[in-house]
Amino acid sequence: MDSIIKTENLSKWYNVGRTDEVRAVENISLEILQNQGVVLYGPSGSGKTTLLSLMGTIDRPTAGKIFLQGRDVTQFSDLELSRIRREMIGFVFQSFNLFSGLSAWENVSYPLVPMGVNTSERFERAKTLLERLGLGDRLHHSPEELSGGEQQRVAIARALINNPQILIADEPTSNIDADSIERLLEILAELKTEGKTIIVSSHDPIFKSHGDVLFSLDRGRLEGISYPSNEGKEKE
Amino acid sequence: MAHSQALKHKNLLFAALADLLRRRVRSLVVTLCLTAILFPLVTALAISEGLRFQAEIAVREGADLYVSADQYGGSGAISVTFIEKLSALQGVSRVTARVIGRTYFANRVVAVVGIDRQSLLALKPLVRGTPPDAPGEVLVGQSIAEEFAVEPGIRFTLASNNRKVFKSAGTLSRTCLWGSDVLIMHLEDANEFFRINGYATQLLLYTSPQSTPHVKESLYDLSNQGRTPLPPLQIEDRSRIQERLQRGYGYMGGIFIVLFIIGAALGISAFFVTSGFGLKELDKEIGVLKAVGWRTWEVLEKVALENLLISLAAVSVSILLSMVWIKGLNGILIAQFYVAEVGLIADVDIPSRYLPSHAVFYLVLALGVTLIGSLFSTWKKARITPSELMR
Repeated sequence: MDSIIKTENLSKWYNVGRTDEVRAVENISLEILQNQGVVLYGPSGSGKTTLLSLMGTIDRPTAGKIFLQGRDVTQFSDLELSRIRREMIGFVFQSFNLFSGLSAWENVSYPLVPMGVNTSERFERAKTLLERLGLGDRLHHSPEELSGGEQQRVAIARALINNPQILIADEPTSNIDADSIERLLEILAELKTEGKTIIVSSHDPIFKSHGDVLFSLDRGRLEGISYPSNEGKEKE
Repeated sequence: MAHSQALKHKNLLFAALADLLRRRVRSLVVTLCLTAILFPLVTALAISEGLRFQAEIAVREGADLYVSADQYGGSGAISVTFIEKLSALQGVSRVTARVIGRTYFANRVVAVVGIDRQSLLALKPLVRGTPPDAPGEVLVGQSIAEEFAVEPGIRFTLASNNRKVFKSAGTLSRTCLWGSDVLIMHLEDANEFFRINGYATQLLLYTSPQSTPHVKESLYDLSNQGRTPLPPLQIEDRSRIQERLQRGYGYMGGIFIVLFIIGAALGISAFFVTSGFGLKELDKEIGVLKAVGWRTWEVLEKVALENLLISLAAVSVSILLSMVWIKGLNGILIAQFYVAEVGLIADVDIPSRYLPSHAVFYLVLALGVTLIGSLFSTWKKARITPSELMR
């Protein structure tokens, strides 16, 4: 399989040069292949969200390089990064970041607004995704009227609206109940079978047994790599 | 491609509208603040334009040439015996005389205007009562009539010449702004009152179309070459009066706008400082938009369209409010900037006029205010990484 994301000595520091300097990600090199299910595992403060943000191009590194499908995107302009986010990456945020006051279908179709897609097509595409994620009867509900699990599925639908190759989900189990976690794992597995690359960050042990690759992080450093789907092949 | 571009802008416009509606409290507060800034300007310019329009009508309906004697470089009285001579000039269709002076009505300065019978009769639509007919009858300005309870039929004398007794024949209508502090009478009565029999302060020449320059030239010729007993003349033509009018109102409007801009700038700064306009929630939304693939200029376009919609709303509300203020409250607090000797509450009907070009100016101004407040900061934020904005 081809490499879809590769990082080389990637670092992200905050408050550089100050007494409160934080090294959120330190010198991480890893490679993710197309259609892999990847888990970034570690406790709070281990740098998972920062690493996801860097790989998802919504943050810029302090040092090191990120390659997407072999292209170094570290020096890409704001416009080029926007294009990558629009065409290649779907992001599901930990707190979902849905727009209150907009209905589920409007939230899902919001990325299509500046793309010149007409309202009826936007509605149809959002409806198809929401129905697939079991929210066909929640199309016109606003986020305030949805449960945590439903909000997360709306956020997943929004991330998928442009049919990206990569789906990134930050701590997807932290704001939902046990039933919703089951449903989430099913959805992620289904998306993977469709050929998408799934990258999830979590401190939830449930993910230790899921995914093709598990990168263990601690205090911003890559501590280990394991392969849950190929038990016994763990290597340090 | 063009279709897709048009659809994109349309989508952004509707997205902007939807965002304003879902943040309706904030939208309402911003619109009201903008209205509070715009409303005084809209009202003031509407009054200024109304006054200018009335004055222009007066000038347009007036004479083509205003002739007085030149005295030490200023305007002096001119003998009415010249009416006949001036009437004989080629291109002159009519010549009338008028006297304009000042005196006191009790303790109040008033203008005294003496005109001929034909001109007095022409005032009939603007008069409550009847125009002066018999000698000594006077039309009283509405403001004077109200202050001193001068009803038709009441007799009175004026300072300067208290042997001359006048009788009120009627009062000028409230709509006659120029007639607020004026006493209008027969030319002969004004002559008698000012003890200048046989003289007028101006002769008014009405000319046939296109012949004003020729008549003016003839007047200068006659006056300078001494071919007739005409004295040296001061001649004003309508275009110069119109020009002065424009300059006068432009000057007044300019002063108001300068004061307004200084006030508005202070108000806007105070507004942004006190209201903590940064709004963390909006920053986060910009971050989310960028994270889901929106480009910086698309975020900016949406914000600009939100500002445009808010500005349109604020301009519309300001104009409506201004109409109510002027028609219902007679321009209270603002009219006094433009109408001399009008107190807190004007006792004459304040004129107003709303022009499309002014509406465009208000919109540009409103857009400027809102864009200063939002577009630059949005641009700065949109260039920060989405991750940082959402943090």
